[in-house]
Amino acid sequence: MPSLSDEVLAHRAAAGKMECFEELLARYRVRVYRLCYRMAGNAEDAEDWTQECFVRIYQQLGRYNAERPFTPWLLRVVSNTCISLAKARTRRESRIQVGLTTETEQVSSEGDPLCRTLANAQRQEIQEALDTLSPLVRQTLVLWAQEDLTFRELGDALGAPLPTVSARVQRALQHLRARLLPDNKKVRP
Amino acid sequence: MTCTWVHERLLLYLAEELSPTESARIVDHLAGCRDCNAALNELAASRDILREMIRTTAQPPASLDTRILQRVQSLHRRRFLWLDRLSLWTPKTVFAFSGCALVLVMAGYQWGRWNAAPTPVPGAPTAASALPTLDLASLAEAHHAWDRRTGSADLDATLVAARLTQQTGLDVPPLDLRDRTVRLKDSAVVQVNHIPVAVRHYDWNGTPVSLVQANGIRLDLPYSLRELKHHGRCFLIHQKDGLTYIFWCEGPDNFVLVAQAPPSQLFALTCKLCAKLRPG
Repeated sequence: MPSLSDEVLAHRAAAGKMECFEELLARYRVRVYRLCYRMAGNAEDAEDWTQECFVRIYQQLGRYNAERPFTPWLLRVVSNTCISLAKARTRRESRIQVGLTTETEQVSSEGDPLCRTLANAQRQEIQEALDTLSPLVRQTLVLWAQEDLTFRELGDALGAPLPTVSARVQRALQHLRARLLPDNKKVRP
Repeated sequence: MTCTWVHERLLLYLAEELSPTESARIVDHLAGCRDCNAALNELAASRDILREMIRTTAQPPASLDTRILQRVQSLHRRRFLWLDRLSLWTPKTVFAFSGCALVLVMAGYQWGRWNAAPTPVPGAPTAASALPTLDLASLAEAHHAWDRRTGSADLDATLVAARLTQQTGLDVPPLDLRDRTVRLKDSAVVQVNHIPVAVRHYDWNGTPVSLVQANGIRLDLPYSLRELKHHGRCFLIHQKDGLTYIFWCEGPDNFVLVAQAPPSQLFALTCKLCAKLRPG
């Protein structure tokens, strides 16, 4: 099983081989979880969203063309799922006007307590800054940063043209720079 | 090229994902634009820092896999349940089921054919147009009215056609078969439902034959007749009181050949006429 390519596994999983789907889950669980974590903003939601992403991947495997690379297809399904979940959550929050409690990333208990506190504060600040972006822009930025994709690959994964995704990332970076790197912290060449 | 154009492409330029032409244009612009240079340097410096800040090293809990698999397996069971049921089907039951399905399909096809409306002649007006139909009785009467004694000499096909065209308003083509077996002997204009119809009488090896031409826009063909398809064309055949009628369409006009002859023989003459009416 480990010797099989993602494409072959996906093809077999679509035909009903559960063990192939399990292998795909093992290969992609961390990547999908991290994308969901950045999109959801907290660990609890990230788990639910990851589960939802894999359910949708399983449901849509029948439509996957095994002649094309699997990873962009998977990232596209994950992106669409995260965007729709983020939009649904925004609607829900605006209805009940109650914010979710943000949990910070699990950090190592080792090291200096002050460093840990600062790291936690920084992570929270980053997440808050990301949360100010629209789901679509946030997803584009997170995919670009987390997956280290080229803009062409990013366009494939999101089903958008190259100039659109690069402009989206550039605008998002400018926005985050203004929030996270104020003048005194800005990097000067 | 404006600074806006350059700004929109700075990130692609840094990622080296621009075409060589676009990259060269940006290099040219940067050489002379201080603002764009500053923007590029700021973006280059902050890009990697922000990317690192956004990246997370969060790890999913081990229990997540179990949750995902439980949910997917429940979907899997539902999805493939009907496939499992197929295993209950033995070759005998599959064969019996296929046989029944085939019989039903064939019965449906036959029923559809019996109940289908007669196919209209291509190019002819539809039955729904409610036009008066070419009356068989008046055609038979016109055929019998031909007095062969008065038409003993062969007529000039072109002159007859010109005269009929003038009298009926139809575009009557000269039908000179140049065949010794078929000779044009007489012509007449007959009123069917008060509509003038051109009739040409031929002598066909001693058998009188009438060729009727009527305007298809004003007079319809009777559609409840036996249909014959030949070389992609449709003919209607009818026999009554010893006469054979063969109907067909040619352009906007309907043609009928009437003779006291077997349908197969008259059809041979029909084909000859059709070839003359529509060369090639």
